[in-house]
Amino acid sequence: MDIIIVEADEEDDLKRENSKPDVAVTEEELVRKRNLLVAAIQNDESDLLNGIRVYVSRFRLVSDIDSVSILARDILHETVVTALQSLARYDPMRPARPWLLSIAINHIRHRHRSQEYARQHVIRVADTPQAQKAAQESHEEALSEEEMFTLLHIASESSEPTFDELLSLVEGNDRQILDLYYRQGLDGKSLAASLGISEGTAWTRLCRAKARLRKAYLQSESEVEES
Amino acid sequence: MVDRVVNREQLLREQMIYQYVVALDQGDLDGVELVLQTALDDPDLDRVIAEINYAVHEEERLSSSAADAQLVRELLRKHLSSAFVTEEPMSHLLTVGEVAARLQADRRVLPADREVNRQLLGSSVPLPRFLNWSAIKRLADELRVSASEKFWRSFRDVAIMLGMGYSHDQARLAAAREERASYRTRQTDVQQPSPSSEDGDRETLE
Repeated sequence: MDIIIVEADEEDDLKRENSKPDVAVTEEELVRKRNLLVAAIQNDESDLLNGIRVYVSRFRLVSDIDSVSILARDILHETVVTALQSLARYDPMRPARPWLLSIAINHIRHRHRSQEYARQHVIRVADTPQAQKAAQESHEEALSEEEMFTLLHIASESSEPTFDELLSLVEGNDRQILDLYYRQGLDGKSLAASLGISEGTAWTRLCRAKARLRKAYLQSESEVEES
Repeated sequence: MVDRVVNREQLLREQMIYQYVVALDQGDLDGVELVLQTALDDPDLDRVIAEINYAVHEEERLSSSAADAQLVRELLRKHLSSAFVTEEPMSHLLTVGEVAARLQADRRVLPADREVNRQLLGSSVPLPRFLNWSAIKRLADELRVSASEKFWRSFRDVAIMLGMGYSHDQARLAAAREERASYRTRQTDVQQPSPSSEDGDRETLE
Protein backbone atom coordinates (compact mmCIF):
# COMPACT_ATOMS: atom_id res chain seq x y z
CA MET A 1 0.00 0.00 0.00
CA ASP A 2 1.28 3.47 -0.85
CA ILE A 3 1.83 6.07 1.81
CA ILE A 4 -0.14 9.21 1.12
CA ILE A 5 1.53 12.46 2.07
CA VAL A 6 -0.91 15.19 3.02
CA GLU A 7 0.13 18.82 3.45
CA ALA A 8 -0.64 20.52 6.76
CA ASP A 9 -3.85 22.54 6.54
CA GLU A 10 -4.13 26.29 6.39
CA GLU A 11 -4.89 26.51 10.08
CA ASP A 12 -1.21 26.13 10.90
CA ASP A 13 -0.33 29.09 8.69
CA LEU A 14 -2.91 31.19 10.48
CA LYS A 15 -1.57 30.03 13.83
CA ARG A 16 1.99 30.97 12.89
CA GLU A 17 0.78 34.34 11.65
CA ASN A 18 -1.04 34.98 14.92
CA SER A 19 1.95 33.93 16.95
CA LYS A 20 4.30 36.70 15.86
CA PRO A 21 5.83 38.48 18.85
CA ASP A 22 4.20 41.66 20.07
CA VAL A 23 6.02 44.84 19.23
CA ALA A 24 4.23 47.10 21.67
CA VAL A 25 2.01 45.64 24.36
CA THR A 26 -0.45 47.78 26.25
CA GLU A 27 -0.86 47.52 29.99
CA GLU A 28 -4.34 46.10 29.54
CA GLU A 29 -2.95 43.45 27.21
CA LEU A 30 -0.29 42.54 29.77
CA VAL A 31 -2.94 42.13 32.45
CA ARG A 32 -4.94 39.90 30.12
CA LYS A 33 -1.87 37.82 29.27
CA ARG A 34 -0.88 37.55 32.90
CA ASN A 35 -4.31 36.23 33.86
CA LEU A 36 -4.24 33.66 31.09
CA LEU A 37 -0.71 32.61 32.02
CA VAL A 38 -1.63 32.24 35.70
CA ALA A 39 -4.57 30.03 34.71
CA ALA A 40 -2.28 27.96 32.47
CA ILE A 41 0.35 27.54 35.20
CA GLN A 42 -2.30 26.44 37.70
CA ASN A 43 -3.77 24.04 35.17
CA ASP A 44 -0.40 22.46 34.28
CA GLU A 45 1.26 22.63 37.71
CA SER A 46 1.94 18.90 38.12
CA ASP A 47 3.08 18.48 34.50
CA LEU A 48 5.52 21.35 34.93
CA LEU A 49 7.04 20.01 38.11
CA ASN A 50 7.24 16.49 36.71
CA GLY A 51 8.96 17.74 33.58
CA ILE A 52 11.46 19.84 35.54
CA ARG A 53 12.24 16.94 37.88
CA VAL A 54 12.90 14.72 34.86
CA TYR A 55 15.24 17.33 33.35
CA VAL A 56 17.10 17.86 36.62
CA SER A 57 17.60 14.12 36.90
CA ARG A 58 18.44 13.38 33.28
CA PHE A 59 20.78 16.33 32.82
CA ARG A 60 22.62 15.31 35.99
CA LEU A 61 22.40 18.57 37.87
CA VAL A 62 22.52 16.64 41.14
CA SER A 63 23.98 13.27 41.97
CA ASP A 64 21.47 11.97 44.53
CA ILE A 65 17.77 11.43 43.96
CA ASP A 66 16.73 13.24 47.16
CA SER A 67 18.13 16.52 45.88
CA VAL A 68 16.18 16.34 42.62
CA SER A 69 12.90 17.55 44.12
CA ILE A 70 14.56 20.40 46.00
CA LEU A 71 16.40 21.68 42.95
CA ALA A 72 13.32 21.18 40.75
CA ARG A 73 11.37 23.48 43.07
CA ASP A 74 14.08 26.13 42.80
CA ILE A 75 14.02 25.90 39.03
CA LEU A 76 10.22 26.08 38.97
CA HIS A 77 10.49 29.22 41.08
CA GLU A 78 12.95 30.78 38.63
CA THR A 79 10.78 29.69 35.71
CA VAL A 80 7.64 31.33 37.11
CA VAL A 81 9.53 34.57 37.81
CA THR A 82 11.04 34.64 34.31
CA ALA A 83 7.69 33.84 32.68
CA LEU A 84 5.92 36.63 34.56
CA GLN A 85 8.70 39.05 33.65
CA SER A 86 8.50 38.01 29.99
CA LEU A 87 4.72 38.38 29.59
CA ALA A 88 5.12 40.38 26.40
CA ARG A 89 6.56 37.28 24.75
CA TYR A 90 3.80 34.96 25.96
CA ASP A 91 1.38 34.01 23.22
CA PRO A 92 -1.97 32.81 24.63
CA MET A 93 -2.79 31.30 21.23
CA ARG A 94 -0.13 28.63 21.75
CA PRO A 95 0.15 26.05 24.54
CA ALA A 96 1.90 27.51 27.59
CA ARG A 97 3.49 24.28 28.80
CA PRO A 98 6.31 23.96 26.21
CA TRP A 99 7.07 27.67 26.60
CA LEU A 100 7.43 27.30 30.36
CA LEU A 101 9.49 24.13 30.02
CA SER A 102 11.80 25.92 27.55
CA ILE A 103 12.35 28.62 30.16
CA ALA A 104 13.13 25.88 32.70
CA ILE A 105 15.61 24.32 30.26
CA ASN A 106 17.38 27.69 29.98
CA HIS A 107 17.70 27.90 33.75
CA ILE A 108 19.02 24.33 33.84
CA ARG A 109 21.54 25.21 31.13
CA HIS A 110 22.65 28.25 33.13
CA ARG A 111 23.15 26.10 36.24
CA HIS A 112 25.05 23.54 34.19
CA ARG A 113 27.46 26.22 33.03
CA SER A 114 27.87 27.59 36.54
CA GLN A 115 28.59 24.11 37.86
CA GLU A 116 31.15 23.49 35.17
CA TYR A 117 32.79 26.82 35.89
CA ALA A 118 32.79 26.13 39.62
CA ARG A 119 34.43 22.79 39.13
CA GLN A 120 37.14 24.50 37.07
CA HIS A 121 37.36 21.31 35.23
CA VAL A 122 38.63 21.47 31.69
CA ILE A 123 36.75 19.11 29.44
CA ARG A 124 38.23 18.08 26.17
CA VAL A 125 36.10 19.46 23.33
CA ALA A 126 35.74 15.93 21.99
CA ASP A 127 34.14 14.85 25.28
CA THR A 128 31.38 17.47 25.32
CA PRO A 129 27.84 16.18 24.63
CA GLN A 130 27.65 18.41 21.53
CA ALA A 131 30.86 16.99 20.09
CA GLN A 132 29.82 13.44 20.90
CA LYS A 133 26.47 14.03 19.27
CA ALA A 134 28.14 15.52 16.19
CA ALA A 135 30.54 12.58 16.00
CA GLN A 136 27.66 10.16 16.31
CA GLU A 137 25.74 12.00 13.58
CA SER A 138 28.75 11.92 11.26
CA HIS A 139 28.96 8.14 11.73
CA GLU A 140 25.25 7.82 11.13
CA GLU A 141 24.90 10.28 8.29
CA ALA A 142 24.46 7.34 5.93
CA LEU A 143 20.88 7.13 7.24
CA SER A 144 19.17 10.16 8.75
CA GLU A 145 16.35 9.80 11.28
CA GLU A 146 13.86 10.98 8.69
CA GLU A 147 15.09 8.41 6.18
CA MET A 148 14.90 5.73 8.84
CA PHE A 149 11.26 6.52 9.65
CA THR A 150 10.31 6.63 5.99
CA LEU A 151 12.11 3.34 5.40
CA LEU A 152 10.24 1.70 8.27
CA HIS A 153 6.87 3.02 7.09
CA ILE A 154 7.50 1.84 3.55
CA ALA A 155 8.92 -1.54 4.62
CA SER A 156 5.95 -2.20 6.89
CA GLU A 157 3.55 -1.55 4.01
CA SER A 158 5.36 -3.51 1.31
CA SER A 159 6.81 -7.01 1.12
CA GLU A 160 6.74 -8.79 4.45
CA PRO A 161 10.27 -10.28 4.38
CA THR A 162 11.92 -6.83 4.16
CA PHE A 163 10.26 -5.61 7.31
CA ASP A 164 10.85 -8.93 9.05
CA GLU A 165 14.52 -8.72 8.10
CA LEU A 166 14.70 -5.27 9.63
CA LEU A 167 12.97 -6.45 12.80
CA SER A 168 15.28 -9.44 13.10
CA LEU A 169 18.07 -6.98 13.87
CA VAL A 170 16.59 -6.23 17.30
CA GLU A 171 15.54 -8.17 20.41
CA GLY A 172 12.10 -9.59 21.18
CA ASN A 173 10.57 -6.66 23.09
CA ASP A 174 11.80 -4.12 20.56
CA ARG A 175 10.55 -6.30 17.73
CA GLN A 176 7.11 -6.57 19.33
CA ILE A 177 6.61 -2.84 19.81
CA LEU A 178 7.94 -1.93 16.35
CA ASP A 179 5.65 -4.51 14.79
CA LEU A 180 2.63 -3.19 16.68
CA TYR A 181 3.41 0.40 15.68
CA TYR A 182 4.41 -0.02 12.04
CA ARG A 183 2.56 -3.12 10.90
CA GLN A 184 -0.51 -3.16 13.11
CA GLY A 185 -0.87 0.62 12.97
CA LEU A 186 -1.26 1.03 16.74
CA ASP A 187 -0.42 4.48 17.99
CA GLY A 188 -0.09 6.18 21.37
CA LYS A 189 -3.05 5.10 23.50
CA SER A 190 -3.88 1.96 21.49
CA LEU A 191 -0.23 0.88 21.60
CA ALA A 192 -0.18 1.43 25.37
CA ALA A 193 -3.43 -0.49 25.84
CA SER A 194 -2.14 -3.39 23.79
CA LEU A 195 1.01 -3.65 25.92
CA GLY A 196 -0.72 -2.87 29.22
CA ILE A 197 1.49 0.14 29.96
CA SER A 198 1.04 3.91 30.12
CA GLU A 199 1.03 5.99 26.94
CA GLY A 200 4.26 7.77 27.90
CA THR A 201 6.01 4.47 28.57
CA ALA A 202 4.81 3.16 25.21
CA TRP A 203 6.28 6.19 23.40
CA THR A 204 9.53 5.93 25.35
CA ARG A 205 9.94 2.20 24.63
CA LEU A 206 9.06 2.70 20.97
CA CYS A 207 11.63 5.48 20.51
CA ARG A 208 14.36 3.47 22.23
CA ALA A 209 13.50 0.45 20.05
CA LYS A 210 13.81 2.68 16.98
CA ALA A 211 17.17 3.99 18.18
CA ARG A 212 18.46 0.44 18.69
CA LEU A 213 17.11 -0.67 15.31
CA ARG A 214 18.78 2.27 13.61
CA LYS A 215 22.09 1.47 15.26
CA ALA A 216 21.83 -2.22 14.40
CA TYR A 217 20.88 -1.42 10.82
CA LEU A 218 23.86 0.91 10.35
CA GLN A 219 26.13 -1.69 11.86
CA SER A 220 24.82 -4.43 9.59
CA GLU A 221 25.22 -2.15 6.56
CA SER A 222 28.83 -1.35 7.41
CA GLU A 223 29.54 -5.06 7.93
CA VAL A 224 28.11 -5.83 4.49
CA GLU A 225 30.24 -3.07 2.95
CA GLU A 226 33.38 -4.36 4.65
CA SER A 227 32.78 -7.93 3.57
CA MET B 1 -1.86 -5.12 7.43
CA VAL B 2 -3.78 -1.90 8.03
CA ASP B 3 -4.56 0.95 5.69
CA ARG B 4 -2.92 4.05 7.00
CA VAL B 5 -2.65 7.64 5.84
CA VAL B 6 0.59 9.19 7.01
CA ASN B 7 0.73 12.95 6.68
CA ARG B 8 3.75 15.19 6.83
CA GLU B 9 2.66 16.62 10.17
CA GLN B 10 2.43 13.11 11.62
CA LEU B 11 5.88 12.14 10.31
CA LEU B 12 7.38 15.31 11.77
CA ARG B 13 5.70 14.59 15.12
CA GLU B 14 7.01 11.03 15.08
CA GLN B 15 10.49 12.36 14.46
CA MET B 16 10.15 14.97 17.21
CA ILE B 17 8.96 12.39 19.76
CA TYR B 18 11.94 10.21 18.85
CA GLN B 19 14.34 13.16 19.18
CA TYR B 20 12.85 14.08 22.55
CA VAL B 21 13.34 10.59 24.05
CA VAL B 22 16.85 10.27 22.57
CA ALA B 23 17.80 13.76 23.80
CA LEU B 24 16.55 12.91 27.30
CA ASP B 25 18.52 9.64 27.27
CA GLN B 26 21.67 11.36 26.04
CA GLY B 27 21.39 14.40 28.33
CA ASP B 28 21.13 16.70 25.32
CA LEU B 29 19.61 20.00 26.49
CA ASP B 30 19.59 21.57 23.03
CA GLY B 31 17.76 18.58 21.60
CA VAL B 32 15.03 18.81 24.25
CA GLU B 33 14.68 22.54 23.74
CA LEU B 34 14.32 22.13 19.98
CA VAL B 35 11.41 19.72 20.45
CA LEU B 36 9.78 22.01 23.02
CA GLN B 37 9.95 24.87 20.51
CA THR B 38 8.21 22.66 17.94
CA ALA B 39 5.55 21.75 20.52
CA LEU B 40 4.57 25.42 20.75
CA ASP B 41 2.85 24.93 17.40
CA ASP B 42 1.70 21.37 18.01
CA PRO B 43 -0.56 20.75 21.04
CA ASP B 44 -0.60 17.01 20.28
CA LEU B 45 3.19 16.88 20.54
CA ASP B 46 2.94 18.91 23.76
CA ARG B 47 0.56 16.31 25.18
CA VAL B 48 2.84 13.40 24.22
CA ILE B 49 5.82 15.20 25.81
CA ALA B 50 3.88 15.46 29.07
CA GLU B 51 3.07 11.72 28.86
CA ILE B 52 6.74 10.87 28.24
CA ASN B 53 7.79 13.05 31.17
CA TYR B 54 5.40 11.12 33.41
CA ALA B 55 6.82 7.81 32.16
CA VAL B 56 10.44 8.87 32.69
CA HIS B 57 9.49 10.34 36.07
CA GLU B 58 8.17 6.92 37.08
CA GLU B 59 11.13 5.11 35.55
CA GLU B 60 13.58 7.26 37.52
CA ARG B 61 11.50 6.72 40.66
CA LEU B 62 11.31 10.44 41.26
CA SER B 63 8.95 11.50 43.99
CA SER B 64 6.13 13.97 43.78
CA SER B 65 4.10 15.21 46.69
CA ALA B 66 0.72 16.68 47.45
CA ALA B 67 2.56 19.85 48.43
CA ASP B 68 3.45 20.52 44.79
CA ALA B 69 0.17 22.24 43.97
CA GLN B 70 0.50 24.32 47.12
CA LEU B 71 4.01 25.30 46.05
CA VAL B 72 2.78 26.60 42.69
CA ARG B 73 -0.01 28.59 44.34
CA GLU B 74 2.45 30.10 46.82
CA LEU B 75 4.84 31.05 44.05
CA LEU B 76 2.12 32.79 42.09
CA ARG B 77 0.83 34.57 45.17
CA LYS B 78 4.29 35.72 46.15
CA HIS B 79 5.33 37.03 42.76
CA LEU B 80 2.03 38.51 41.74
CA SER B 81 1.58 40.41 44.99
CA SER B 82 4.95 42.15 44.71
CA ALA B 83 6.09 43.01 41.22
CA PHE B 84 2.78 42.65 39.48
CA VAL B 85 0.25 44.37 41.69
CA THR B 86 -0.35 47.66 39.96
CA GLU B 87 -3.35 49.84 39.58
CA GLU B 88 -4.95 47.66 36.93
CA PRO B 89 -8.72 47.60 36.84
CA MET B 90 -10.38 45.13 39.19
CA SER B 91 -13.35 45.03 36.91
CA HIS B 92 -11.47 43.27 34.08
CA LEU B 93 -13.73 40.47 32.95
CA LEU B 94 -12.91 37.40 30.96
CA THR B 95 -13.97 37.87 27.34
CA VAL B 96 -15.36 35.59 24.65
CA GLY B 97 -12.19 36.22 22.59
CA GLU B 98 -9.94 34.97 25.39
CA VAL B 99 -11.90 31.73 25.69
CA ALA B 100 -11.81 31.29 21.89
CA ALA B 101 -8.02 31.81 21.93
CA ARG B 102 -7.60 29.14 24.56
CA LEU B 103 -9.86 26.74 22.66
CA GLN B 104 -7.72 27.23 19.57
CA ALA B 105 -4.45 26.87 21.49
CA ASP B 106 -5.67 23.58 22.99
CA ARG B 107 -7.01 22.40 19.62
CA ARG B 108 -10.39 21.71 21.11
CA VAL B 109 -12.34 23.01 18.14
CA LEU B 110 -13.90 20.58 15.66
CA PRO B 111 -13.24 21.35 11.97
CA ALA B 112 -16.91 22.30 11.48
CA ASP B 113 -16.68 24.95 14.23
CA ARG B 114 -13.30 26.46 13.32
CA GLU B 115 -14.78 29.32 11.32
CA VAL B 116 -17.06 30.30 14.22
CA ASN B 117 -14.15 30.16 16.65
CA ARG B 118 -12.08 32.39 14.35
CA GLN B 119 -14.90 34.93 14.36
CA LEU B 120 -15.01 34.87 18.15
CA LEU B 121 -11.24 35.41 18.54
CA GLY B 122 -11.63 39.17 18.18
CA SER B 123 -14.68 39.45 20.43
CA SER B 124 -14.36 41.58 23.55
CA VAL B 125 -17.85 40.66 24.81
CA PRO B 126 -17.52 39.83 28.53
CA LEU B 127 -18.62 36.41 29.72
CA PRO B 128 -21.73 36.13 31.90
CA ARG B 129 -21.09 36.06 35.62
CA PHE B 130 -22.60 32.60 36.04
CA LEU B 131 -21.55 30.07 33.46
CA ASN B 132 -24.50 27.71 33.53
CA TRP B 133 -25.76 26.08 30.39
CA SER B 134 -28.68 28.46 29.83
CA ALA B 135 -26.37 31.48 30.20
CA ILE B 136 -24.06 30.01 27.55
CA LYS B 137 -27.05 29.51 25.25
CA ARG B 138 -28.12 33.12 25.75
CA LEU B 139 -24.58 34.24 25.02
CA ALA B 140 -24.58 32.24 21.78
CA ASP B 141 -27.83 33.98 20.77
CA GLU B 142 -26.37 37.40 21.58
CA LEU B 143 -23.24 36.68 19.57
CA ARG B 144 -25.39 35.51 16.65
CA VAL B 145 -23.13 32.63 15.76
CA SER B 146 -24.06 29.03 15.13
CA ALA B 147 -21.84 26.23 16.39
CA SER B 148 -22.24 22.66 17.54
CA GLU B 149 -23.36 21.79 21.05
CA LYS B 150 -19.98 20.15 21.62
CA PHE B 151 -18.30 23.47 20.83
CA TRP B 152 -20.39 25.35 23.40
CA ARG B 153 -19.76 22.65 26.01
CA SER B 154 -15.99 22.95 25.45
CA PHE B 155 -16.38 26.74 25.48
CA ARG B 156 -18.10 26.54 28.86
CA ASP B 157 -15.46 24.18 30.30
CA VAL B 158 -12.60 26.43 29.20
CA ALA B 159 -14.41 29.55 30.42
CA ILE B 160 -14.86 27.97 33.87
CA MET B 161 -11.22 26.88 33.96
CA LEU B 162 -9.99 30.36 33.01
CA GLY B 163 -12.51 31.94 35.35
CA MET B 164 -11.06 29.98 38.26
CA GLY B 165 -7.68 31.58 37.55
CA TYR B 166 -9.32 34.98 37.38
CA SER B 167 -11.24 34.69 40.61
CA HIS B 168 -8.15 33.47 42.42
CA ASP B 169 -6.22 36.36 40.95
CA GLN B 170 -8.84 38.94 41.82
CA ALA B 171 -9.09 37.70 45.39
CA ARG B 172 -5.34 38.02 45.66
CA LEU B 173 -5.43 41.50 44.16
CA ALA B 174 -8.07 42.57 46.65
CA ALA B 175 -6.04 41.12 49.53
CA ALA B 176 -2.88 42.83 48.29
CA ARG B 177 -4.67 46.17 47.97
CA GLU B 178 -6.08 45.86 51.45
CA GLU B 179 -2.63 45.03 52.78
CA ARG B 180 -1.08 47.95 50.93
CA ALA B 181 -3.77 50.36 52.15
CA SER B 182 -3.29 49.28 55.73
CA TYR B 183 0.51 49.55 55.35
CA ARG B 184 0.15 53.12 54.04
CA THR B 185 -2.13 54.00 56.92
CA ARG B 186 0.37 52.63 59.41
CA GLN B 187 3.20 54.56 57.73
CA THR B 188 1.17 57.77 57.82
CA ASP B 189 0.42 57.25 61.50
CA VAL B 190 4.10 56.82 62.27
CA GLN B 191 5.30 59.82 60.25
CA GLN B 192 2.50 62.28 61.04
CA PRO B 193 1.18 62.11 64.58
CA SER B 194 -2.50 62.95 64.77
CA PRO B 195 -3.52 66.44 65.97
CA SER B 196 -5.02 64.97 69.12
CA SER B 197 -1.81 63.27 70.12
CA GLU B 198 0.16 66.46 69.37
CA ASP B 199 -2.17 68.37 71.66
CA GLY B 200 -1.73 65.71 74.21
CA ASP B 201 2.05 66.03 74.01
CA ARG B 202 1.83 69.77 74.29
CA GLU B 203 -0.36 69.50 77.34
CA THR B 204 2.14 67.14 78.89
CA LEU B 205 5.02 69.48 78.12
CA GLU B 206 3.20 72.47 79.52
